[in-house]
Amino acid sequence: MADRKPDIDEKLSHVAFDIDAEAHITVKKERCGECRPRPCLSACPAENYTWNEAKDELLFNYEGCLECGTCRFVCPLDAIEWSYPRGGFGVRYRYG
Amino acid sequence: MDKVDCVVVGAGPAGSACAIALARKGIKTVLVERGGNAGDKNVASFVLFGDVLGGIIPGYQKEAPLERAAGDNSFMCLREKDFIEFRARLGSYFENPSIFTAYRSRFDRWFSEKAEEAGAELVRGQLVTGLLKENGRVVGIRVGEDELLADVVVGADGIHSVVSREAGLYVDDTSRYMIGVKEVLELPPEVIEERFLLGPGEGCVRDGWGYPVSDVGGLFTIYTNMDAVSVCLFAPVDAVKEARVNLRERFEDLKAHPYLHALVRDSKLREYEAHILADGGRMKVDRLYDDGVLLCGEAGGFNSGMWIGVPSGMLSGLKAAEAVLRAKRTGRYDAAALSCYRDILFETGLPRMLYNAKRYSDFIVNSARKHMEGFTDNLFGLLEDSIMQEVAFQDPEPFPAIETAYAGLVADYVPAWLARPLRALVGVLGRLESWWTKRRIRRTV
Repeated sequence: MADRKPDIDEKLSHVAFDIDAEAHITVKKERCGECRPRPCLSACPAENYTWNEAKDELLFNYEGCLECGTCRFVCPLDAIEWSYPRGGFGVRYRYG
Repeated sequence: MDKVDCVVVGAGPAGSACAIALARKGIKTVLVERGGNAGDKNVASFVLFGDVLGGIIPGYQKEAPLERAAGDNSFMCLREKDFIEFRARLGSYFENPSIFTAYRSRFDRWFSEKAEEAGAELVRGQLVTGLLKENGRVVGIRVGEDELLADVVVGADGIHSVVSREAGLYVDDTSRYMIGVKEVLELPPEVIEERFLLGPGEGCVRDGWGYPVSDVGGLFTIYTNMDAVSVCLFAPVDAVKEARVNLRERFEDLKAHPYLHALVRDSKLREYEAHILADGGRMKVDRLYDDGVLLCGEAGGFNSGMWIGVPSGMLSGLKAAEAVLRAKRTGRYDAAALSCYRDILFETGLPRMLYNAKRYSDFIVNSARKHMEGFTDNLFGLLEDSIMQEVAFQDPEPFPAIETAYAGLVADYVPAWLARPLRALVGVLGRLESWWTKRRIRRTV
């Protein structure tokens, strides 16, 4: 398979979001250190989870969440708590 | 505190269908949607089958926001540089179509407005965060600080249903969950029609398997809107978890494949989307109702598989409404009264349909996952031999059709105990075929 890296920021620039000040994702980051597979990094279609090598910790941003909820099912340590954002907030698909 | 007859949570196809049916019978119904508008949160992965919709809104073809009638459909199989495609065009279908492509954001919004027209109260931009209970019985909903009492709550709030979890009806089975990633790619209508070999306004759906998701039993689908092409790629959530499949990268591989590239090159990205669905459903008839609460749509696991969730969702919404109406006649909304939902569902044949869909999906997805690579290689091998006419020109013996078909398409799937006798039978048939062919050659050439 060819090495084709998607430019996720470019892709997300075509998606409308009504961003809430309140996060709808919480992560118990202390569990992530011992997690080896870290499936959230590759699973999230919006690449919202990244690993900060310098700080050795998980970074996530809920603002670009497409609300598929994949992360809640792939986390092997149940560290990700994902819920729907508050009413009227979050992704707003213009096509869908 | 305010009290209504029924609260329907979620204004998707199931919730709106339910609210329409209830409101038309004079039931005081509130339809609560978490998106600023119905459809804001929804992603289509396939086409809309109009039969159920036609029963709710006769003549919907004239007013619903539909894109193209889909009567030109194909199934294909990809390898990195190759493809095989089986295409079926139902010419007469285009004269009286009932299957359409549509954007969910527009369609769901239109359908929710139909619920308003029918007399339901549509509340937008409100997330139902919990259920109100009294002695274990559901008596209403909670929206943040606000509360609303209802005789019965219908949960139509999707795959991540809050209602099903709060009511203790959630079926914890992710084995059928598929994650889908999708792009809506803009192209002029004439270019779409030229590339997809369609007449003006005609649409198509093209489903496929193989590259670049053959290792995990993934699938993809491409369909045409009026001035955009939707491309969706699916993989089982389990595979994304265990095999660490990166669907974003696989999507780029798919778009770069010669087959896809020829169709969507020079298009402009309109939207990037992702959603989870339960392929083949995860409906369990005894987990669809409890005291004061019913589930329908994807919240109840009504997804008939192969990505076709809208019609089974709508139908389940209508049946939930019927159950509410029947319960109202008895004046009770406890689990015993609402258990008529189960009977109504069985009358429609929907559970059997879902069961069949599940088996169909099992066959397609699981056998795809288990055998996809081998099957794909065999199929390509067989066609390469015949298409490239290697056999005809290089082999003086007549082409052994029976042996080749058996080895290429059947042998891998035969149970061990049957392999030997079947192999022997194929051997005999093969010799007969060879003798027969040689005899015909002698008589005709």
